Amino acid sequence: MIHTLEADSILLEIGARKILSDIYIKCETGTITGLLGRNGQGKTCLMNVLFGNLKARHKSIRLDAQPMKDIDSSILTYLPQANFIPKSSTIKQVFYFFNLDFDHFTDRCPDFKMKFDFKFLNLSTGQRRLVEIYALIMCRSKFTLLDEPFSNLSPITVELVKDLIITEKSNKGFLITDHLYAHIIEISDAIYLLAEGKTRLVSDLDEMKSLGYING
Amino acid sequence: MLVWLKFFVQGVIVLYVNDYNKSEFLYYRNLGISKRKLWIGSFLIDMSIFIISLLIAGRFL
Repeated sequence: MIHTLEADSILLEIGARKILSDIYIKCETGTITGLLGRNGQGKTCLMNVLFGNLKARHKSIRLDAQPMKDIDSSILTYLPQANFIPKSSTIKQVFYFFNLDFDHFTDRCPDFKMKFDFKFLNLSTGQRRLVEIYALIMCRSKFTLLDEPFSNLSPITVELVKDLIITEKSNKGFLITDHLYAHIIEISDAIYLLAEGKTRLVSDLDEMKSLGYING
Repeated sequence: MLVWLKFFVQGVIVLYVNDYNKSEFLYYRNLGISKRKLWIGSFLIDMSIFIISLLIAGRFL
């Protein structure tokens, strides 16, 4: 079944500064939606508003055209920029709680074969990040928000993550933001550019140049 | 006096954990457990242990 997540009428102010004011964003099952923008334009704030972490003065978030009052993990999951799984957790616990298949994971990442009982504090930052990304890509929510999933990953791991997202998009919708924009452009079905609190649907690099996101 | 001290310490812990473990709350949110549910659950367990300990200690005083 195809689900649609839409958000608009978001007004977010922090102090006197208007962070988000004219937003429209749409995400569907089977699509990868990219969100690009320069530093400080409010990409993370927008994800936090969507996930319900940040209270906006106004917002309208709809799932299948119905207003969403409570955001639960069966609908939306969110990968923040920072590591978020407690260091004392083991990989085994995370796979159990997210209901994931460890064999599938080790087929793609053989380095983890002997690490099922490892605690997160014994993993490197990149390894922790990879498990976190895998858990949220593969979990059974209808939509997943990924904030900078490619940061701190080696090129080969970035390719693996892109492959996982593309494979899993048949089951859910993704909203992804990252400064490594080439990867976002490569895998996204639609791209929004966030600038001055407004989102614009962009289709090519020339448009991004004209909007000042990349150098012309 | 002891009860007020307990509430004061509890308040300090809530402020510290909310700030220091901010991103880890997202782990539980992604599993469907809100911050409020976590705090209510841990508060109830903590207060139960505190009250039971008080009652046991009271028997020997």
